[in-house]
Amino acid sequence: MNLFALAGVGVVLGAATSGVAMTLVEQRDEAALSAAVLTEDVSARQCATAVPDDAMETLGIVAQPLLTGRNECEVRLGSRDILVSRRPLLTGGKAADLPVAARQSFEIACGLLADDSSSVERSPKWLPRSTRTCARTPAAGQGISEVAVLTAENNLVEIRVLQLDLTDIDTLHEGLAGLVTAAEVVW
Amino acid sequence: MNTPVRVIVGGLGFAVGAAAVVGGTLAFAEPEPRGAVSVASDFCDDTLSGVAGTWGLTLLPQETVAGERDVLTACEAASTSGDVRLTLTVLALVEEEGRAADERTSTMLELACTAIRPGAPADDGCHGAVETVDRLVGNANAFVTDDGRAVVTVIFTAPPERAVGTSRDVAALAQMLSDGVA
Repeated sequence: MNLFALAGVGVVLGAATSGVAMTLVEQRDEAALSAAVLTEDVSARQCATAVPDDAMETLGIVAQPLLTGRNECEVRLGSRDILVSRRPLLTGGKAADLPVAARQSFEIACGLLADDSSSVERSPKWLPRSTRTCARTPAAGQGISEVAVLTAENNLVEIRVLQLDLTDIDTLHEGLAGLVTAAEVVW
Repeated sequence: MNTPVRVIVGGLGFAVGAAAVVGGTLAFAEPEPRGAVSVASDFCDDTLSGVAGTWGLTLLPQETVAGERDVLTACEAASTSGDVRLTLTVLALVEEEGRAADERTSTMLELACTAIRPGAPADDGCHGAVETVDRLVGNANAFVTDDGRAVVTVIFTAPPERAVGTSRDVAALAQMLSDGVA
């Protein structure tokens, strides 16, 4: 084999080897960037824990928690209703940026909590102080209550309770606090 | 030709080929991605004080949450009773090597719009009324700044008898912030 042919073979082999190496490096980077999606479904077991018996009894809505087709945990008793759902989150990037994305979603959920008859409280005293929350409850305790919860694990959980029979706001607060505590345990 | 010479010639050829591929790849690589845009420590005060003064709202302290790369700035102004609330978030995103600059902002904008205007297209952002079952209680807007470096959301809610006035202020804030937040 002459020198030119030998050099040519070397160039081809070198180009091929380095091309494969560069491709592998790029693929590894891409895999790292495409992580951080948090969308797994809620399970029936999680529903049972997310709506504990004592919270249901306090709120006067006792029934079997069911997983709905919309990925929500629901307890329905006549016109009374408890709904607990976890919002899907994603960063569009790395998992380490999930706290930022979760907080943004929480702030939006909190900002949208509004209706025509009740005011919104941020981290009210009657909810667990260690959890970031935002809540609106009907003044007399009867109607729709909503709580947005940002858990320590950076999950956004939304709680909605429709109760038309309660006459005591403290009882409503106690029931909602039980649901927030359970959400922190599950998510 | 003896074996050492063959090895040297072949090795030189290998090095030239590898250098050509690596050099070509680096030469035509995308430009260095930009970092997250920096938001001033008095951003919330500067941006919301006008609207807060008009509506008699109190500004809450500016909050910042920093991830590995992204940074969220959260502002809120509220009435004493909590019936009027103005929420502003700025999500400053870094660009990623190997991805189009607007890919991440588009993803995060879509996520924000899913909450603000479920079912509505979010390609160019989203805006519109915040409503209960049958009543207007505010206005909201989510968009990417013109420089493509931040996702901004503005949510303004008030009792129904005052809520119609929120749209003007949300539009004004969106206009003010569309150029960028730095």
